[in-house]
Amino acid sequence: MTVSRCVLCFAGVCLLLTACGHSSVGNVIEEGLDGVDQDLVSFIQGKIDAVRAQEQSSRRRGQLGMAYEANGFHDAAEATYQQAMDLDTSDFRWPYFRAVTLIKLVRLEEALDDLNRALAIDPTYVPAMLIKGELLLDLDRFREAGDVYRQVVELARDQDALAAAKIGQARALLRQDDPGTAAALLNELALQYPHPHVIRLYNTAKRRLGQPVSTSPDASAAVSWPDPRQKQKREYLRGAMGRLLAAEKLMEAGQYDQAIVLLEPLVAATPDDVDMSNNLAAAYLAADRMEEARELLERGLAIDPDVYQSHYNLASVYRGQGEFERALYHTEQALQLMPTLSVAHRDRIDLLVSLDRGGEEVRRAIKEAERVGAADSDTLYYLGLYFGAREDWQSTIDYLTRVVNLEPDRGKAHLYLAHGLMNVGHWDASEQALLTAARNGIPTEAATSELERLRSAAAQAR
Amino acid sequence: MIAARKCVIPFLLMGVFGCSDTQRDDIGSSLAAHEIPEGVWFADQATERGLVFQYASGNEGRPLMPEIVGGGVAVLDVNNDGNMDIYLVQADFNLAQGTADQGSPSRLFVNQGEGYFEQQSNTGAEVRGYGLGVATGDFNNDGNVDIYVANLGRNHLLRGDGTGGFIDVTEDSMTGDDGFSTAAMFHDWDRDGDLDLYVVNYLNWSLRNERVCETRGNPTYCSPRAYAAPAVDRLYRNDGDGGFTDVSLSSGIATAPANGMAVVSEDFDGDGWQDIFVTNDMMGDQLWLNQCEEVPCLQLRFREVAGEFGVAVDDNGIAKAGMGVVTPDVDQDGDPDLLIVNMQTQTDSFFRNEGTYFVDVTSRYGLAAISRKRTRFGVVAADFNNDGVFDLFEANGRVDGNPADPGNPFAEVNVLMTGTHNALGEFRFVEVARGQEKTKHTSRGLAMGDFDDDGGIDLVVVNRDGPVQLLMNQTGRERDWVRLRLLTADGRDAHGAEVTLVREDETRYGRVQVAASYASAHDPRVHFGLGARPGVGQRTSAELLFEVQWPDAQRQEIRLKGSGVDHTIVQTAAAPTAH
Repeated sequence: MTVSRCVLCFAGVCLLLTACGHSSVGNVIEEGLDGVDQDLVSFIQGKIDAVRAQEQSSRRRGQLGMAYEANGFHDAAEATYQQAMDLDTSDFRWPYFRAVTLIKLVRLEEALDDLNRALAIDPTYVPAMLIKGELLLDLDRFREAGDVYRQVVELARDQDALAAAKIGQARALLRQDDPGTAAALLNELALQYPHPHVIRLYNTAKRRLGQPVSTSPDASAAVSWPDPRQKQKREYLRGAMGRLLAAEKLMEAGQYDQAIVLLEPLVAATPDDVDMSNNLAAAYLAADRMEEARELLERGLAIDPDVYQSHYNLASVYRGQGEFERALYHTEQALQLMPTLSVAHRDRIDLLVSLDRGGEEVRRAIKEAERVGAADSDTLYYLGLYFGAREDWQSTIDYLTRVVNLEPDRGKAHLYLAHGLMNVGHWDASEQALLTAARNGIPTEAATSELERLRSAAAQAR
Repeated sequence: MIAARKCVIPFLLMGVFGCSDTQRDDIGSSLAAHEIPEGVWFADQATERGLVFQYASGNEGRPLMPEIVGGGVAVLDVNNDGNMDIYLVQADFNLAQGTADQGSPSRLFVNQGEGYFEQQSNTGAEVRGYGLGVATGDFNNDGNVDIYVANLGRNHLLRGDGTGGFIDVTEDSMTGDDGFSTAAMFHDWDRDGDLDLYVVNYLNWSLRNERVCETRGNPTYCSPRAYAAPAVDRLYRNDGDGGFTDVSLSSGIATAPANGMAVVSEDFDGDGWQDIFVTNDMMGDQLWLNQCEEVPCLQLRFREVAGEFGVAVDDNGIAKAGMGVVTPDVDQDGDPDLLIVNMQTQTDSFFRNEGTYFVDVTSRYGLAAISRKRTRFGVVAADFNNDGVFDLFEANGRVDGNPADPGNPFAEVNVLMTGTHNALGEFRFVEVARGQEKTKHTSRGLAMGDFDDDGGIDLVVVNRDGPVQLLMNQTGRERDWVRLRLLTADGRDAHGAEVTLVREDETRYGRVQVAASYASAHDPRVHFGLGARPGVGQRTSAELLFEVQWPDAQRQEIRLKGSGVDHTIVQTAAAPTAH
């Protein structure tokens, strides 16, 4: 074959390939088109079509990748981001988003490579550096993690990001068996940023140094920081479930009005979906839009009266509006449907007290609450005071004794228990309780005087 | 305010398993002895040895939460012949359409000797219900092991007669908790000489309150967070007369509802009283510190201290999924360490016990990278190859389906790791991949026992909607070992007894621990791999010195001759008898 024919053949092959739509970065990745949620399916199809229309556009590929990632198709997302990267090596987003996706796929070394690529493009993007630090800790590369977090400390302007970096430094130090430096760092941080996780980690460092610790806070969420680039992906959530997720996250972040913006169209599209209406009602409640919440909930209950969430939320509306009887009714309806709903048990007790219902009704309510573990020490303490106000001393003693058994250091519980005991003539026990209260920092002079007065009076009466 | 029934699983938790091993989907393959290649630690011989059973979730399309949770397995000696038998819980009916009496019963398989099993019938142990977990212990001190079946719905207490027969005494004993029970265990927490009972409950779930969850646009099982309905565990104090008293409230246990998955008991703070550790799904784990001070303890009370001790969440402040749990003393300093296994994208959590607090050493022990690839449920830490160092086996299976898997979307391979020390004496787990079985299942319960009494610890794996696996140890017999069965004066296994093996060059620690892993109960014998590699027919003939601390705190020194055998030691007031 002559050279000219080779060239012609070659050109012909290239033409054919082009005509078949083969891109230099590979075919469009197709995923998620067989799902049941048509809103999601059509959204992804739209993104695929956009890529086909502009195959050399890294932005189109990246947007498709974001659509995949936001909706949980991580394999497809990772591959599509790679294609976007191949088309444009200067866009920070694609290696960054691919790294985040690879972490979800537990391909950590590859994720680290992509994070480094992203940071080579923008070395000062703090959220990416924080993710890198976390990754290095997971890969047991503690020193490198410490170095990254040190850089973040110098760069960070956001308070949460700065705190996260210092926490990361402390974790790296602890893993390198340097609790002393970690403790010093955390001590300083806790003064400016007393997040429960900081305090808990500080206590960990102190314990390793053999130092006494304060009471650790209950298990808390990790520190989170803003990431504007990743936030873009939220717009790519589709399907009712996707929007619901986004709304849940907004609610958690206290952004109720924005959650409402997402939820209202969903309810408008499916007005008979009680669950969807309930979610919107919860958002209205949180945003203090009581009338709108009430209307939505009452409508929902007319469609389906057996949704405990609707009853509970409506009870919350009525409580907020001071209509305690209605609130109690709906709370009890919620409990009939979901007998183990702890918050409803506690609300019922509170409502019974507010409505000044008799002691027996309150006692029955607490018994039911106890059966499902809803009677925590705060509830018992509250009841101890309630019965004390009614001079039902035995009940006061019963409840407060249980409180001090659960929380031996609750000084005020010992104080009020002492009051109960002295009013039934248990002088020694009352005195013991007062001593315990005093040991826990509660002033007891007045109560001690009262105890002596009652004791003397009883002795004289004899 | 409460969100409604529809939710999504946060996509951070949806890890698509992108590193699949072989796509083999043949299940229950068994190998005869001559077919097993060198370097294989375990061989599945379930069918060959008569252990034929499949845990059926009852799923018929629509995902219902309890279907993804069970089932469990118990290793126990029901007829006191010295051979370890197997009890497997069953569900096998659809929760939306069926009823318990329509499902298959739980099954007892009696070991005929050398690890060959025969399924039993009409023993009284064939209870029906939506079975999830199981516990064993001799609650009435008659020398015969009893069984507690944890169900969705009413649990069952089955009293053994020592011949392989059982009577359901749930009603009389008042232990029929009717929650969503995933696990249970027996232990003598008040040290009054009889076994009390702890029941772990997961969720307040009902069909009426089932939620609709989706992942990638398709229905799937919900996270427990979606229900916002954590459940209360139960603590039953043994009254000594066949009955129990529910002391959940007065003990403090019932004040902290959570999504309980597994339970283990150890004396974590070394005060002589056994404590309770509960793993919780997507909530902080709980460490209940026993507040008893005097024997007998007249009122059982516990204080929750997981946050204080540093084991509630990981050191990034995250409450993980909290599935199975074990307490190997990896650093062999005499106190129990804690290993909790979690779901995909979350590492295991290995907490080393430092006395009054724990240190997260997950990464240092090599577990971080290996573990986060899969969703772990059952876990066993034991010396499989008898080299004197703990090894690890994790039974895996997803909770959200992998749509890329053409077969079972929940199936994953199980993982075997061996404990190693580097030149500096630093401990690490290393994955043993070569030569191991690569079949994939949705594994849940995992229990250990030596069924053929060859000194190699074997494993039973329960697979959701798949055949049970009997993994016979192929490597333990290559090295020397010794094993103790410790019995109280009443003839029951001495739950919580601690054994110290004192040798010239090392001290080793073990304990009688029946309850650990996930939803399962183990062989009660205390096993020590002795590490030496003897020639044919040779065993250690030197005297072995053991120090035993019995559950009632009595301490005794025992000298035994003969390795490569089981020794049974019965506690007596004067001195223990060994045989």
